[in-house]
Amino acid sequence: MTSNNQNRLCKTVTPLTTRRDVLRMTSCGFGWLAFSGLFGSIAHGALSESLAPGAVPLIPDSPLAPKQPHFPARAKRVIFLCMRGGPSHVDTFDYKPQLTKDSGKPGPRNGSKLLGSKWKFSQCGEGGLWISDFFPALQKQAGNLCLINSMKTDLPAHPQALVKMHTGNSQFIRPSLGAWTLYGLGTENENLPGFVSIAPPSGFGGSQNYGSGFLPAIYQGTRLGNDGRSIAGAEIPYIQPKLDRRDQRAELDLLNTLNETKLKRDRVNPDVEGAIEASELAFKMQTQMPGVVDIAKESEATKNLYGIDGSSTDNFGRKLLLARRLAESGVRFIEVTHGNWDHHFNLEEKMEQSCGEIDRPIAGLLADLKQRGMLEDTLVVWTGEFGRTPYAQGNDGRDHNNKGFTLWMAGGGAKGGYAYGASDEYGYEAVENPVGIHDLHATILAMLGLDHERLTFNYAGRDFRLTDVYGNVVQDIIS
Amino acid sequence: MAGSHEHYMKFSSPIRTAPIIAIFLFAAMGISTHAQEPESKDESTISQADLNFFESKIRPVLVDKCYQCHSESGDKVAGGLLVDSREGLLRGGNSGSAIEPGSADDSLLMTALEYEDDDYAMPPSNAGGKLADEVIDDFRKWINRGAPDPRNETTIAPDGGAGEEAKSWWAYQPLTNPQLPKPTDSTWSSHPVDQFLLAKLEASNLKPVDDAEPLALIRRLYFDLTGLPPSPEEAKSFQEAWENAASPSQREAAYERVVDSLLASPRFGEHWGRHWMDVVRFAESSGKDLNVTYPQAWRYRDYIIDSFNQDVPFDQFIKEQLAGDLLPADSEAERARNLIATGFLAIGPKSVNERSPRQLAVDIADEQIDTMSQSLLGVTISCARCHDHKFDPVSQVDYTAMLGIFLSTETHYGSIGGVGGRNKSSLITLPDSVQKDKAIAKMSKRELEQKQKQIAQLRERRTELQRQRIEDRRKGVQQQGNELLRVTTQLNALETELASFDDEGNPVSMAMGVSDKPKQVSAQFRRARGRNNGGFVSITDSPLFTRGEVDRPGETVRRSLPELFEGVRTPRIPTNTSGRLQLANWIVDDQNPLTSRVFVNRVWHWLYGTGIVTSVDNFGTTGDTPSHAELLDYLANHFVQHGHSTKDLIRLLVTSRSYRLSTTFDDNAFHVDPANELIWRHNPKRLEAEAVRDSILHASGDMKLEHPGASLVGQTGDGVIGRGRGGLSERQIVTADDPVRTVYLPQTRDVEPEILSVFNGPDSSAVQGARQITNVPGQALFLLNSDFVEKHAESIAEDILGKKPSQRRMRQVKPSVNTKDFDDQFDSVCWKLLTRPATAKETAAAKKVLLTHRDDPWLGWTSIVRALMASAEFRSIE
Repeated sequence: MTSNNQNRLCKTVTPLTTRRDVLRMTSCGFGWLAFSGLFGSIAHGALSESLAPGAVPLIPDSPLAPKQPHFPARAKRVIFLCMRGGPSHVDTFDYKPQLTKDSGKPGPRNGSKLLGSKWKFSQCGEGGLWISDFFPALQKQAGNLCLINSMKTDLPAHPQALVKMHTGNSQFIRPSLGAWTLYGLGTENENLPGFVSIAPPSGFGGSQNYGSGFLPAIYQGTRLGNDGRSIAGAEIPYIQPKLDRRDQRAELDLLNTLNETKLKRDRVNPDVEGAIEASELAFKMQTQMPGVVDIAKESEATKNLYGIDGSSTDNFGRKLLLARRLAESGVRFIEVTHGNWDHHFNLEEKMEQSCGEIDRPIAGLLADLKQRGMLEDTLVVWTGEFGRTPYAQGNDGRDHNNKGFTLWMAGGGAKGGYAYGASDEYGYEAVENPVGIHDLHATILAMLGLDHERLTFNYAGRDFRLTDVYGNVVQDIIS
Repeated sequence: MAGSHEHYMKFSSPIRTAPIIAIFLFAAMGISTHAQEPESKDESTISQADLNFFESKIRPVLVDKCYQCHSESGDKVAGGLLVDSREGLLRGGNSGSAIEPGSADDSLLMTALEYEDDDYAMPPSNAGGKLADEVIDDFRKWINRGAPDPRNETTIAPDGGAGEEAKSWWAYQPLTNPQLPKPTDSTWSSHPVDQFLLAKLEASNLKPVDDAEPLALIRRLYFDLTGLPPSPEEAKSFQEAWENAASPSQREAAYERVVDSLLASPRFGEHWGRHWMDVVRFAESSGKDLNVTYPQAWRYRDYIIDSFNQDVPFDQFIKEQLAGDLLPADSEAERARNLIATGFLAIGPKSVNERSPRQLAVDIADEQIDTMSQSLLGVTISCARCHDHKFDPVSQVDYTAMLGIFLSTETHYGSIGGVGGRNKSSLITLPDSVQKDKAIAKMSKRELEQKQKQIAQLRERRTELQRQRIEDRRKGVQQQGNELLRVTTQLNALETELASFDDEGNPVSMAMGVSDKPKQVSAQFRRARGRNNGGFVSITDSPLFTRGEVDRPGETVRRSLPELFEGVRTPRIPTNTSGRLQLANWIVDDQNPLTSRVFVNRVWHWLYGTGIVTSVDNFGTTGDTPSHAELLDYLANHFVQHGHSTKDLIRLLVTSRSYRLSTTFDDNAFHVDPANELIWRHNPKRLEAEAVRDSILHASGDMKLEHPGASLVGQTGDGVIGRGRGGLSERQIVTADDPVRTVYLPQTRDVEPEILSVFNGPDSSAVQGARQITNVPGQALFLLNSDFVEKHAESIAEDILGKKPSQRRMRQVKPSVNTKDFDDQFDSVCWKLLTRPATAKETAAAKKVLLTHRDDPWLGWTSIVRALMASAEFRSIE
């Protein structure tokens, strides 16, 4: 079997066995980079020498090279909108008239008092989705939205729930959804990181939420900006090279020689591989990244569409416009965080504020993706780490609720104007077609053309999955 | 029902008053029998006559006169008292029960209504003043009739928590005294640590890999003990001693000599102090909504560094940090040291702009409990703030019993406070004999006078504006509050600044820290200071806040310590003290199994790259179990029996053979134990952010090792970060580049020196025993493109070539590349940065770089050095 055949085989039959895995199986466990043609200094001779007898010599692709999915994909990329803190579903996308009626009566938990939503809901768009009047702009996009009203998660604590949402496991350090996606599909632009997280929080699991766990470090998300800080002016620091390209290439060749020496000595060292890959990506990013993150060139009309006008929508609008520009440039997975939705107190005032900050920008993003023909293959996901209780905390607040909350999707094969599942009459618990985090992950992967049971990585002698041994694809929401 | 009775017995001891028993009884029933929700009897038992009386005479008055300040739906909850429910009245506020049903004379409410005591006189004049006599008489009758009240508001019973079952979790069990195992291979090592490790390896049919080579070993040891690499001379001399040693014991002696010299080096405390600073979330600003600076926090930083250098026994170290102010001292210096130590409790994140002083007071106490419990015990006691702990055996009552300890404690965090000086706090003035800090400049006579004048003017203006405001209000004119607020804020800033200088302009030595609140306070004091403390002005027990909400105080819980462990005395807390000393003694009690386990595990983590318990800050039931439970207990016992000496513990660990294993990869062992839990090799580690920066400075010879005194924050003084007006700008912090050890750079919350954020520096918002590790292009970009790396790489280039000429001079001289001594020169650079000689292949690749810059060898060498600094090897410890 020639190497080309092997390649093709890899891509068609078991596309998710990377060449790296093949190497691991056939050789003594060298990382792909030790053989990679990236550095002129590595001769093919050295390569076959280090392979086990009978192994097939390969010149592997970069781990970021695009790969074919398992089956035809509905979405090519994901924009994941993370509403950190846990937005109240019963005040936004889960219409509960009975809760309003029974406001003040005892709630589902001992001693609690129900708190009806103080906001009106309207039926919007073709599917007649109920959306709170907090979102006048988003209401107009109702035809694109697919609500999942029956989400649930394990724990009502921020760090655990946020990490669970991102990695499927709050107990151990595991690769994040974005890292798995990148591992499964590669990226469409090797000059940019394939996974970017805009303004992630430093706490609540921190970098675990965009980490790569046991997957190669190159699948880790690259952070742009910080949660709680203005995104305006946020850029990738130190992107301006000190040397011209040729001179810097010479410097990098020396750097690679050093790293290669170390890797050869260590034989297996994912950390060194990660450093090598990161240096190469850094070198390539210098040319393209500054242009991509510079939103100055966008027209006034576009900026306006996202609410970039100095008002309360400005900051989140910028983040979403950045997200669109990254998506357009071939980044596979983009996450955007908006905090803080942890409304234990002053629900009325804070919801008004938080919803106001995101309504126009998100509606703008959906409209912009549509007009660019990108909505059909870009999956937009909106969710918190959990929802909030239908009963009151104090008089004007809600507590964490992991038993039931609402998430929505748009584009990328999600059924527009559709509501799936339901919570009980008060919105306390998901009762009809509950969707857990593993189900959600399985479904997102399915939309990307990946079978969550086949997207595995062999670590320490065991095939790991994002969904562990769980997860059912929610076929009903895929159009 | 036997089960629930037991439950009640356990909970009841720290509780002062009776009604709460019922609540817990219900809670217990909820757990064991899933009983129906308790029904309130009040409504069904009240007679029609009583109902009529209440509805016509009492309720209207309460609603009209009291609800605005004393109800859930009101603007605020004054004095913690709620009168919108029967329970609220029974529960009372900060001063105790408002009514004693059946006895009007014993009811505080009557004292208030009758205006007997100025402090309790209610309703206040702005609500109409004293009630009419007949109305007061109605209240008297009502209370004497038993205060029948149809309002039906049940206190929410604490949820069913993890309770007793969780007490069987391994971490809460007493320390065991394990026997040394006897591994089959008795020749490998006689070191106790090795016996434990080898026995487990053998049980998995694994063997440890080879020992580390001397150069790798010495580099590891230097980094692990001091955070700095060895100089080429130090490394070579060790290598020589190692290779020339006539016997294994001579080798051992050579190694131990280095261990001892590093433990004795001042660099040790700087490195290990930094570890502890991670654990105690050290920072020099409040973070949160208004990021005000803590200009005195550096003293606590130095206290930590000194303590590690002096090897202060760990139990003493903990006692000083929790209760240094309550410890005896033999000298002023010792007294000062003890006071500074309590900075531990004061440097936490705070919302200084919080509008409710009560909320802030409880939040501060909660943060202290959180930090104390996670850093010292590895348990998240704070989870029980709003409900019984879901996973660990800590009830909300346990939590509240501890909350009282911290609410009885005054936290001196200084700072400029929030808007208009809101929530600013005092500092502790240190004895005069404490040395003034050389980094803080004296204020000139002129500046001092000018500022005093400014203050006088501002005070005048403020008085004027206040008068005007009263007048406007009387006339019903629209209020113009802006200028008043601005003046107040400005005035506060100046007053705060001047408070740190004496009349001569000399800086006054002050510290952050804590002290016990007064035992008793006069009514006057309560009135004057009550607002600042949210009502907690003296030593007091805390009410159990329903769902953690400060405006829903429930029954008072006596200050005490949780009965988490068998055999550990939980000392009674005398009424005249906060209880911090008792808390400290309970924590350092030799029988307390968590304290020593948690700390030895931290030390293990810092040396071996991962803990015996990998979740270093969480020993609770959601944390991990130990990979070597017996070893952990062995070490904990050893630590306790050897005077709680950190240096002794480190010495024990680094002299084991397992610490000295190589990082060699082994296919078979990896397959069996990929995470290296069994320690079949030494974990390859990454340099922490500080070590990346420090080694660059150290290797380039640019580092200033002398102690710099106050940090940039201490030198700049009080202010809000990033808001101008004398405060530090974010830029000043991000670009801080004084070539001192990184531990001395400004360490403010949310804003940090760039290199720290790039290389996953400390979090400082919470206890962090393990740094995050990432491997992202941003790090490569910093190493390739930052001015910092370029500057220090250039220093090394200048070591080789001499001072770099100016551009003009360069054009005149037209230097050319000289490769005559290149091999030796490159070799010396490799020693400096990587602690090893260069390979031929590397030398050839480096020479190519030099030849790329034929007309500027400085540029060529800078590029070569930078490549070395950017290499994975430079950033890792083998």
